[in-house]
Amino acid sequence: MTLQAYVLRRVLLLVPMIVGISLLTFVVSHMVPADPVSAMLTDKARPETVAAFREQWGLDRPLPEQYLRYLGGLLRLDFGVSIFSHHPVADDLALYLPATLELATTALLVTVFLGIPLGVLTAVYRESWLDRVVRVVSLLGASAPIFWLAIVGLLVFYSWLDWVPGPGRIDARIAAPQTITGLYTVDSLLTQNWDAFGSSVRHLILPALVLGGNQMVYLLRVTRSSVLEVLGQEYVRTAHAKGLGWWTVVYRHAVPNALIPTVAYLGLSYGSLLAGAVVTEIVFAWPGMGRYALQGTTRLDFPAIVGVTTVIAVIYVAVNLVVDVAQSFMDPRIRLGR
Amino acid sequence: MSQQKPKGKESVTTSAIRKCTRRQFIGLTLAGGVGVAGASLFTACAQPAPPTATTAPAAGPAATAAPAAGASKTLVVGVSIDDIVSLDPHRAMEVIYPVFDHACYETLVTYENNDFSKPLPALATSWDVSSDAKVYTFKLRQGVKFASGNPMTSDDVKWSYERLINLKGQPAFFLDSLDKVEAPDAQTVKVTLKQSDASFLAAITAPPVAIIDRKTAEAHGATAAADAGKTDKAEQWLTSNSIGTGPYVITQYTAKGQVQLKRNQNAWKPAKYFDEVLVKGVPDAGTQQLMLQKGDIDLAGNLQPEHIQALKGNKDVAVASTPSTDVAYLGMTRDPKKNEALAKPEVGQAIRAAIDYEGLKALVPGSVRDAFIVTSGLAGSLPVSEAPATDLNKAKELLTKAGYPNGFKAKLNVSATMVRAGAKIVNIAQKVQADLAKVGIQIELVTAEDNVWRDGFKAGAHEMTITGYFMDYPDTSNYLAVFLPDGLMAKRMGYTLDKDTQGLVPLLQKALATPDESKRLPMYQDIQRKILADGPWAALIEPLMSYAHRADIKGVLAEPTYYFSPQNFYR
Repeated sequence: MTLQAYVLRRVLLLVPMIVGISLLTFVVSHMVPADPVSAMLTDKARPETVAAFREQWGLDRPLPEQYLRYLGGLLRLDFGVSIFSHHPVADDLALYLPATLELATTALLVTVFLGIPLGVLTAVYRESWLDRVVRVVSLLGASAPIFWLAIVGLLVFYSWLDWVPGPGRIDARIAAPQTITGLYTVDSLLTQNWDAFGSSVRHLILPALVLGGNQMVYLLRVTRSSVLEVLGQEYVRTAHAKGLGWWTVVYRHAVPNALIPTVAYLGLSYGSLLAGAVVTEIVFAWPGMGRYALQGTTRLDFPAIVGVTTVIAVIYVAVNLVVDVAQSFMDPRIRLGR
Repeated sequence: MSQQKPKGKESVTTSAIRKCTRRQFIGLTLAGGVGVAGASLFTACAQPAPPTATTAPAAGPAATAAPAAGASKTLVVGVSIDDIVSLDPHRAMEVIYPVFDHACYETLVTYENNDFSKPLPALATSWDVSSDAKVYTFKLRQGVKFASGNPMTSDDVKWSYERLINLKGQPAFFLDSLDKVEAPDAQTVKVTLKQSDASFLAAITAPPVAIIDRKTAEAHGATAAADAGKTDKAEQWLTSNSIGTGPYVITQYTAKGQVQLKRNQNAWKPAKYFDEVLVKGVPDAGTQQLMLQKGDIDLAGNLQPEHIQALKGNKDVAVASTPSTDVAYLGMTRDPKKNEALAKPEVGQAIRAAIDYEGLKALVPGSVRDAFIVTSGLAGSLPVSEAPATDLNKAKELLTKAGYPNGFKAKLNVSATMVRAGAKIVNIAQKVQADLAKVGIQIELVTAEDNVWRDGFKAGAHEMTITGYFMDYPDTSNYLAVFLPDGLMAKRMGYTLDKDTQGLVPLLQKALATPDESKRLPMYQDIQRKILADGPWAALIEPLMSYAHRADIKGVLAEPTYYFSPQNFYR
């Protein structure tokens, strides 16, 4: 099997996976002993209102019929209409997904550009001042819940020090850039709207650091232990014996080999960033998919839940596919499709 | 080789300190959590790299506002808008909708400044009520224009009322009693009710009974036809636009992001000061508190008592409060199949006598007490002096009389997460549980996820429950109707018509047929006295509703039915 065939197979596997996800979500959300109508309408809703609502949303039909109708749409890439927002789930996702992607991707950059260098440095300068400080701080960071980090981050850097702007994607008084991709930074660049660009970048800093910083701790640890392991390998000693400079050995021989598990971890990490953005989005008033997912869950809005789950699953699979392929290039011993 | 001393070591570490910029500091510190190590890093970094405006400019109002001289005439509100489904006034019934309804639309009559004693003219300048309170004739205000510039006429009123009813959405109930609405001439509206209803004027002050611009609405797919619930296509458009006569218009809506309101240039009664209102979606109350302290928002919409408490002593922040009208109450089943003891009226009386109301008030700071489930400030409510008193001996006597000298067992179902105007229902339930234990009633507290509780509540499955009821429009009958036998809430507690031994329902009908307030209000009070004697309810407490705002914003009032009115704010 060629690489192309391998990729194709992985993509096709998405279909049964999505059916599985939708069935599982449907079953779980209907096992909850609560009625979506109760979750949508207030306690004061008159019985006539409840009946009209049920009929309008097809909730009066038998469960298997509800599921099959939904699945039929899903296989035609129609996510249906959110019972809560009254909008097509696809439209909702198009609205909220870019905000989350922008945040999660920036957070991933934080993870990579802080986690890997720090991981390498702490391994190279093992037991040094830097290593000890980073280890203690990362232990604290890993133990601190993300909402706490978010609140404390806001308190210190927004409220006290005034280094970063307050919550939200952009300053209240700056209009959002014209929507092209939905990513404020990209759209403002494309439309050369520098005010919006500056503001949206500044608004990204703290939430991305909080979200990415949390993941970074784990990446740092994976990188550190991996580099340590590689530094003890014989080929590293050989490289030194050849008379190569110390940093040349580290950067050309040790680090590339040590990064293979790190890259694998990154794939998992991006999924966690996407799915784990809920709390960050609430504290930072970030209008993203995490909040949409939370709302879907609390309102028993089945189409919204399946929509979010499917999108995250697809991104997760895609990212890990990229990781697999990247690994096969990084390590010739890994052969895909054989 | 790790034991080999790397040449660059010293320079790397020292330069790490020397070049520790703010950006790195944020990264290093936050990455590992703001802990002790972070604090020590901070002391190392802060001095060599003092904050300058190059990398991350300050975010205070000075930086965010356009460089216009002086204070901008933009009001920024931070509030959770996640649950907004619609801003179509005839549909919306979720969070904070009254603010938008009231800022962008108007009703025929209205109330101002929390004075609910009598309706004031709004789009109608005068009205005439038939002696049986069945026919209401309104004269409309001359020269009123919608935001579009279209003149407001009786046809718009008729059409708006019909649309509200025929959409069959949640707010349709405000016009439950309406039979037909006619427009005999451009300035006259004649409303005929199905039955006498002296509370009709109060009901149509509710923000959803908004008069909207028929012509513009129809151009965007709105209809008032009988099947409007299925054929009206204007919801989405009406969520990012508004077509009322009110002081503001909605100019932008981003779901979960923000709602922008701008001054309606055609308003007959313009907004007092602010040209623009930005309602930012800030779901977290703690974040709202920080933004308010910082001055990035002018008003916080969802602060809980603990945040309000934390803001005390802050000179830049003021708090506007009012009784929420959301009366927390205990409901007890009257269905002997669910609980034989609770089904007896004497047991209800005993429970009312066993509850420590003062203790409950202490539990929820700022809360007030009501005699029955009617906010005390409302004309026609029973004076608090007539509220049931805590009297354990009386409670025991009543229990003995009912045949339960040693008490009995009952289940109390509550939502685990429900908060009514800042009061956590679970805490109230625990207090009630402890109070009832003193007279031998053993309560099993059943907490459930909110939706699960709600389902059981709506299905009438609970023996006892605690929740709240807030006023939709300022007439005592708005509360009474649902708690009297066969009312919406009463049915859920098995309090059906066959248990109406005192004829409460006919009494309410009689009151509603009496337009003369001096006669009607005593009738409301009489009903409350009677239902307190044998009904299945105990009014517990009424928490405050509070909005914290920047002290330089004046004219802020917490209003039970409108929440707050940006059109009256000024700086």
